[in-house]
Amino acid sequence: MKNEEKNARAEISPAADITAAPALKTAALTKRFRGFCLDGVSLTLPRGCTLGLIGENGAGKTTFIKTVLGIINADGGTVKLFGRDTKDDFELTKQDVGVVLDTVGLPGGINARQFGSILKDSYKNWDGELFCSYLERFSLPPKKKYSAYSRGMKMKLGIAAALSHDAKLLILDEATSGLDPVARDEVTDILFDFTKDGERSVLISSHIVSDLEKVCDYIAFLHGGRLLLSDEKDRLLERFATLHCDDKTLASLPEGCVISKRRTDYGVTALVERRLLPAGCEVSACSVEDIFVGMIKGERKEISN
Amino acid sequence: MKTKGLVKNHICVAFTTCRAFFLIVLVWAAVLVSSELSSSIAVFIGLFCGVVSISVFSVSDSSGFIVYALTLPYSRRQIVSAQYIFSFLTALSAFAIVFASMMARGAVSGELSLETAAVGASVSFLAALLPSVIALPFIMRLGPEKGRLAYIVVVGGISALAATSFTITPEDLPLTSRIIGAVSSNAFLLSAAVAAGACVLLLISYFAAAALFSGRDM
Repeated sequence: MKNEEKNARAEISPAADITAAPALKTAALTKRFRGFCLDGVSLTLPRGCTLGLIGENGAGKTTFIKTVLGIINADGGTVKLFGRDTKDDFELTKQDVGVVLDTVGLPGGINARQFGSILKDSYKNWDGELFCSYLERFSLPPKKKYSAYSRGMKMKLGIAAALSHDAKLLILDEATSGLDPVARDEVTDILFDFTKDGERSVLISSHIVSDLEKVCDYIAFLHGGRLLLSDEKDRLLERFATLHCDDKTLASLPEGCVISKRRTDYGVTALVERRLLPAGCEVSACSVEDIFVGMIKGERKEISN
Repeated sequence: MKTKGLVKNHICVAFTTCRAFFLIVLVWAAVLVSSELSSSIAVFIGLFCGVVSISVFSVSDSSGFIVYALTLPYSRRQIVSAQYIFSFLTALSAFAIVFASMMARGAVSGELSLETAAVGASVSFLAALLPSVIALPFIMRLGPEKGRLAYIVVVGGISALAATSFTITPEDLPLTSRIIGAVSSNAFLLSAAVAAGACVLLLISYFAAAALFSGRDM
């Protein structure tokens, strides 16, 4: 390879390196239940990035993750991890995937030490010393029975296990919901460190949007089994804004500009698309949570109309 | 062994949640050695060992471990394999316990008989495997609660069938009667036939469970 090519390649972040297969790619992933349908979700998580999957309760986040992992059989669509279809020797691919679901299912009589021993025989790259160091860091007694752990301790044990086998992809489903703010902050730091090398990726689902906003590069909104939006976090924050105005100004805005609105004592607060705003409109920055809530409210209004 | 981690989990669960059954098995073994009761009580040792297997699988399923195992580097077939390997190991334990107990009984009574011990151990082996053979396909497909109900229905059906089979006489099945007669006359052949039959049933049950589990949404 010529020197100029090498230098150019070194400057490109792994996340933008299009020759590397994405950590996760779903195409029209579908699962039908009575009363709910995960409807053709197509999502890509590039390598070296963190994708936050946001949705209200019952949006389909857990169904999506379980379908990706094969815990639920999909009715349609494909799932590829690191470019490999999950229908082909998925157990080999799972060596590189660490998973923490909303509940860590372990028999109550087992303790952390026995759990480590079980995982040592499951993963080729299991690092027992690293696992013990995480037990210490999270203050988890290794000989205490799993049934005696609190919800937060159970979650931390699951996280410790997921981080101790050199996983290339971490999938967390509501993993921080049961944790106190200090522990959530600690997990956020761990996730930052996890993706620092630019090769490892994280898919994290939560309805605590503030946690995701800190750590995610990409955000995807799931609502009623459908993917409303999926984009880079920074691009989303540039695309949408909060407008404080009166009814007259609101009425004068072009169609499609206002995603949702809320009346306050001082007028109207609206979530708007910046590019559709007339020149001269003063807006303020919004958070991912604002965008999420605004889009859901906008969706509900459409459904009710 | 690719399923070593899962089998290890089952063994850990057995030792943490089924201690009472181990105690019962040891008590029955002691009764078998020291009492004058018929050696057919050896079958109860097998049955209790079989109950240990089913209890372990129920605990694993209801605790959510099977769902967790699906996130580990195991295929669905390997998850099923681990359960059948564990069943086989408990049945082997039953075989060993009964064989040792019956040899000890023979030594105590002065009527040591390798044939009797072999037959008793192989029947116990079959008894230990039967609960898993019948119940596991249902549990893997329906979960522990519905699986248990289905198991009860099937056992009820088999019992009703067995009751009607008492009306069949050897003259109705001459070839079968001759084979059974030839095998029964040789205790070691009988033991081997019983053990082999149990293994065949286990294999059939395994393939059924693997097929049923592949379609289950957890």
